[in-house]
Amino acid sequence: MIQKILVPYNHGGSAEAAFNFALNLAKKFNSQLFVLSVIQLPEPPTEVETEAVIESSTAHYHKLFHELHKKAEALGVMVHATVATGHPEEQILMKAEKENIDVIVIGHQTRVGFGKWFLGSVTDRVVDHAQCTVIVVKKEHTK
Amino acid sequence: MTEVWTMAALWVGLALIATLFSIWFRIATALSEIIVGTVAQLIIGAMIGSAVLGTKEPWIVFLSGTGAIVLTFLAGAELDPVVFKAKWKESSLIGGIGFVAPFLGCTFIAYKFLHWPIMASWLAGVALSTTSVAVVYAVMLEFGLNKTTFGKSVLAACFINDLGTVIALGLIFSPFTIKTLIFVLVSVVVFIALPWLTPRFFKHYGDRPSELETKYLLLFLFGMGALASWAGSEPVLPAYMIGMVLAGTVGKDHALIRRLRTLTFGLLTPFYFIRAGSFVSVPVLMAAPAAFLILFGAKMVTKTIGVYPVTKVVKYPEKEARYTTLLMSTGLTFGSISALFGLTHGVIDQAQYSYLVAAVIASAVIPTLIANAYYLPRHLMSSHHDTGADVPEVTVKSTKLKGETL
Repeated sequence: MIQKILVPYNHGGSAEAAFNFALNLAKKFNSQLFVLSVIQLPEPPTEVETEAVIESSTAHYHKLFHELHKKAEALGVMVHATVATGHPEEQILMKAEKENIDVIVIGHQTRVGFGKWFLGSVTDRVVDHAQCTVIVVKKEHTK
Repeated sequence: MTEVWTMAALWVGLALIATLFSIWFRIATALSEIIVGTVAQLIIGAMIGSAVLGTKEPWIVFLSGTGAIVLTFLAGAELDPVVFKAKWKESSLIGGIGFVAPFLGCTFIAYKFLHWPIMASWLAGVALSTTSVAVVYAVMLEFGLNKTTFGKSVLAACFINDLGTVIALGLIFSPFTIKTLIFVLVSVVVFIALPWLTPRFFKHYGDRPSELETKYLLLFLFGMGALASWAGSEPVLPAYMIGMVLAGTVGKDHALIRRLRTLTFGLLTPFYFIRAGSFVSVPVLMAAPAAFLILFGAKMVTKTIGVYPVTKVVKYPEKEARYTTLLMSTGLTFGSISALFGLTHGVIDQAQYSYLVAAVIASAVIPTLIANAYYLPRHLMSSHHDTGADVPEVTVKSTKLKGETL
């Protein structure tokens, strides 16, 4: 039985696909759906810019949450949407632990070359370290 | 005017490149601008000539100086007066020692081991005495510690620490004449009057497209900056103080703060940080990196010697004590402002400036990495962490499920 599903959401193609997948999953299993958007601050955080990034990103994600709300409402699914600040993989894993999440549904990241070496893949790290099941959804997934 | 527009295009172009780098590599825009300034001066200086960037042109100096003033004002306005009032005793102790120990220690090390002149050594002490409220805030926010008593105390302590730095910068290099006395007296009157006058003035005349609020604030920032400069002090001192005294009023007006940020990040601070970076000499750093390492080490050691015992006095457990010590060893904005003040006022030379800025940048990055890797007080997180703290949790829908098939 899947009672709680977590979807990390950053408004990319694969995040959109992951949300749609999780929404259908939640509907099928009568689950609660948790959406988590993570604001990643520039390093090192500096005076004034940090607050500015948090404010503008929060406003941006809240707008997106209203779109997600409409989709969820159409299917009658309960959605808890949250914005957190920090390193995405850490926040996702902490949220999963805190809410006793059964399944994390996460979009596939296609970072290659220097970007992958320098910034790494959030998806890889979540798959490696999560204590629950993780479903990775490809951007192309439309069913 | 053709020359001015061409130079403006060059600087804004560099600012744009720096912003793109900050987006691609997720680094702070200020850091990116300092690096771009350093590299641009290195490349353009070698290929065409060091005068091409025009770092000493009066209009560039003005925009750069205004950037430092408005940025410092905004940094002061981020203070949370409620937290500050609640925790001022404990925070003053930690923040005060966090300032005094590296200030005196780094001054001593620069004087004794690097054989810098006494005024240059004082400047090194000031530049390395800073902490970074932003680094501490971001780390606290990430782990939800900013809502704990521990987190609030440390944040307030950081403001005290930086206040010490700004006061030292504003007064140590001042000649202490009758002008200094006039500056101090007028400052006290203005700092007392502004929190009373400003909200009333804004209520009557503000919130119009003519941007009265911005003009009003700039008037006081420039006016007090002029007075500070006349007295031989530094304009960022009154700017930071004005920010702090208006934190409870202007600081809470998010729309106004957003407009000021647009002005600051869009036009002013790129000139400030690119200019600050353009004075860093890479060949000097490469030739003698030991000075940089000594200064960086001095900051870390003196911060530890100062802050760690005080955290034990106020009975922080071991992990919190180490964590606080490391976080308070950070600092970029006020460190670079102090160093540039020293260079432009002839207190330090370009080589000393290069070592100081490198040490300031290292101090912004390395302690945070160590703190998060080894000393994070996780038991505080488990009891207090709530989705990244200040950002509100939003339940978008609470509709009962129907249990339909997929």
